[in-house]
Amino acid sequence: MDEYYDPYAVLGLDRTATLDEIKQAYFALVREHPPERDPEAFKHIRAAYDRLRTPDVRIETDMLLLQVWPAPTRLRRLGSLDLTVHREDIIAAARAFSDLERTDFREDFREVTL
Amino acid sequence: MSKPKRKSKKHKRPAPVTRPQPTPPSAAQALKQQGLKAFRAGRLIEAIHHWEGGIRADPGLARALAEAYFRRALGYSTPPDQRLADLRRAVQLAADDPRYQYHLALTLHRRGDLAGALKAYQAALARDPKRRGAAFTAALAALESNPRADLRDLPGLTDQDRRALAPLAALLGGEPAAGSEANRPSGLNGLLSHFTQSTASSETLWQGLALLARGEAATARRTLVTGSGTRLPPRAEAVRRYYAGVAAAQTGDLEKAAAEWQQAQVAGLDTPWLRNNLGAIYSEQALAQARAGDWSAASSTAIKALEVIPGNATLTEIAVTGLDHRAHVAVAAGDWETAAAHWSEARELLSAATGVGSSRPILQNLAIACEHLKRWEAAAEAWRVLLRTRPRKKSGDGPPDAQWAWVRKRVITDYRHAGRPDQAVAIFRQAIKSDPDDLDARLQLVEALLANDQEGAAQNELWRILERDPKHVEALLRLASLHMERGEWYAAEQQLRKVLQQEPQHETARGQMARALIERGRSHHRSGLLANARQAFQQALTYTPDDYYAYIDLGRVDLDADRFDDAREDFERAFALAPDKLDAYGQIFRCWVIEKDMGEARKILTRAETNAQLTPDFYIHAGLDCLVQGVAPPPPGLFGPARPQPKRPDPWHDFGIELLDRAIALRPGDVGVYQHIVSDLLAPNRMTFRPDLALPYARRLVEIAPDDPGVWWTLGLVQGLNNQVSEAKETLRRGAQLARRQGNRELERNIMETRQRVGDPLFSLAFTLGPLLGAFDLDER
Repeated sequence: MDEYYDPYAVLGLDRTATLDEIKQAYFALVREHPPERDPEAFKHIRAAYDRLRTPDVRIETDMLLLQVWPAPTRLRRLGSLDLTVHREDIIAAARAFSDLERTDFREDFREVTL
Repeated sequence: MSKPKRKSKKHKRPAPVTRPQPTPPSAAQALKQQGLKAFRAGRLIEAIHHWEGGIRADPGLARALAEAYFRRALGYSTPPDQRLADLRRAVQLAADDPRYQYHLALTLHRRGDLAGALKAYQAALARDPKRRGAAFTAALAALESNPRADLRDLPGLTDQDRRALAPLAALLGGEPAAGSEANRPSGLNGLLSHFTQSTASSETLWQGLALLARGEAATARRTLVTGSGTRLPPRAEAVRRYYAGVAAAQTGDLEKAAAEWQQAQVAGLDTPWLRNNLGAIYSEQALAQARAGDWSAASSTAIKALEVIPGNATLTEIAVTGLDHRAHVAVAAGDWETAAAHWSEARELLSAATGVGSSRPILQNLAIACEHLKRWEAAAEAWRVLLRTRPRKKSGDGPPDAQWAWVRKRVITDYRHAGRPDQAVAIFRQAIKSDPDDLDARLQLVEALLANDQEGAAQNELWRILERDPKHVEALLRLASLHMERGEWYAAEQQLRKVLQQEPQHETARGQMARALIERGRSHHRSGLLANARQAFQQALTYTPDDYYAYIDLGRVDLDADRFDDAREDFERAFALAPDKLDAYGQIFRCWVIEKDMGEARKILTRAETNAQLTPDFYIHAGLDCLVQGVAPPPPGLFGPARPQPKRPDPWHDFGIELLDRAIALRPGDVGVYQHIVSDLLAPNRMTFRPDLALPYARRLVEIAPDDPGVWWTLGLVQGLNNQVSEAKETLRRGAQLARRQGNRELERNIMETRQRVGDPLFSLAFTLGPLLGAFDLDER
């Protein structure tokens, strides 16, 4: 088991649980899975508890838990379609047929004689 | 005509020659020739420089100079302002040359100076009315300036051209074109055919736009689609595609509209309305997918939309939600690689957007994923960016201070894993350089410097923080810790007092203050300054009244000051705070042993046995405490074995042995208990170095674990230290034999090495110096 698994999930707790709630959940689970009867489950529960039992340890645990990006609650529509004919586009199209769009005017160059 | 050569270096105009000094004729001639040479070689800057120098002496250079400016203006890499200035100068030098006027007009037209452009077009057309394309471009400028412009006086414009411009003027003026002309050539087409081989496509473009403007979407769509497949200039083609999309959207075919708009974008069109329309269509699609819970598809659509309208908050939130969802799914399948890629993309999207939620969850996930993949530098970077999201002012927003401190340490740890502890220092220094008042960054630098073993620099940085904010709690606490690590207790107290003046209940500060006071008290105690020590411990108790250790320290001082009643009271308080703590019983037991009060010591032992669950370790430590108080052990034999202990009554020795026996009685067959006793009795640096006492315990070890070659090694060693050379050699031979049989060659070699040394006159000395020489490490066995 690595340090990135979620011990809150093992103890059936919310991540905002208090230390008292963590303790209570742990003891309840240990009663359900005593070490002599269910050693593997107990080991798992104990490991989870050990990662939450003190404030210092809990900070590390919390910081190594994957977070869930909160889904947006209010999804706003973007602006409506603009279906008008724009003067700028007409000009841009017209300019496309003119010298304004050209870049090579070498035929306009003249030789220099002195 | 050759293309002007582009020079790699920047164009640098020489200083303007406003009032040139008269140039001697021979010099003017030289400038003229040098300029010509440079001009022919395409070195226009140099040519301009020479000719500008010679033009006052030789006005005949004007045309050549104008041509040089003209060519430079039309160079591919000439900046727009430079181009305009060069053309103006060319016109100034050769005002009668229509080429310069025309290109000045084009440049002004492109820059939006329609009035200036028109003036220049007119000047050009006045001298060369037949110049190809000039009349159309001039007419275009006139119509852009005023759709109802009177074009009758424009030189070079034929009646046919005027008819051709009519639909464009109508479109620009917002007037519907007369009748449907899709199937017959328009006048405009006649003019446009000067510039393009295609006739039908240009006609259909104007026609389609006119129909759209008139509201005939279905016809417009057919007309504009008819224009596809024919050749238009790229910009015109992009416009055609865009309006084909508009016509499709007006007829309800949004899918086709999106396809056309995408193509228009690919063709180079980038207008606000194109971005708006593409964004609206994608976002509508993404929203529908998100509402249906298909976050994966929603995020893909949103990401596509963000390419068109980057930074949009709604789309970013949809995209990030979907990416995060996909990353979690990947982690569940054990695919951290994919997860890291999704979180990395989400992070980039968030950094490009404003008005979205906090990036902390994504950064945290990314850092965790990178750690999983052992990409330590990337992980450190993600944690570091997370640190930057810490609010400057304290607020309820975000994790508590302790979590930020954890992140700070993690940045440094990950950089260390990456083999770059210096990187953290460099990064935090850079952050401070850009904002010297960022005290958070300075504190991060402190941690990084400490991790990089730069304690002095860390302390200096702390002082810099305190210069800016003398009450900075975290800096004061860190400085106090540094003092404490160096044993500078008083200096630590000074910093901690400053914290407690601001926050009297600050838990960390109170704890550290108590520790500093206790350490100072112990230092006074060792120096025999009992009153000072007592005062320090009492002060410590005002900060941590539940610290039973402080009461035990106080009791020790009171015992040394012969204030026995006070000491008993101190110990009672300690017991009240820690009624079942073994270490409290052990410490207080030792106090009375040191005081050589066996009665009190036994009372404590009885009390411990009643109230706490005693362990073999407790009895062993207590027994050794008593043995230390017994008759002084013999000095280690420098050139031979330890001298035998004189036989005489020694109650502390007996009490010590009694306690060791009680330890064994708790776990009679436990090898560990015997090993603990033997190793403590052989500890060379302790007062309890008693190989003679260790011998029976070592013998018992061999009886309990005869198959363990290590215990034979222990017994042989103890026998050797007791000068039982032949027994020792035999024991060690058997131990080596056992190790060999068990295949432990290294242990066999070590045992045989000890066997060779046993009997050496320096054997005991070598053993006692063993830890210094790196030999005889009991823990090795």
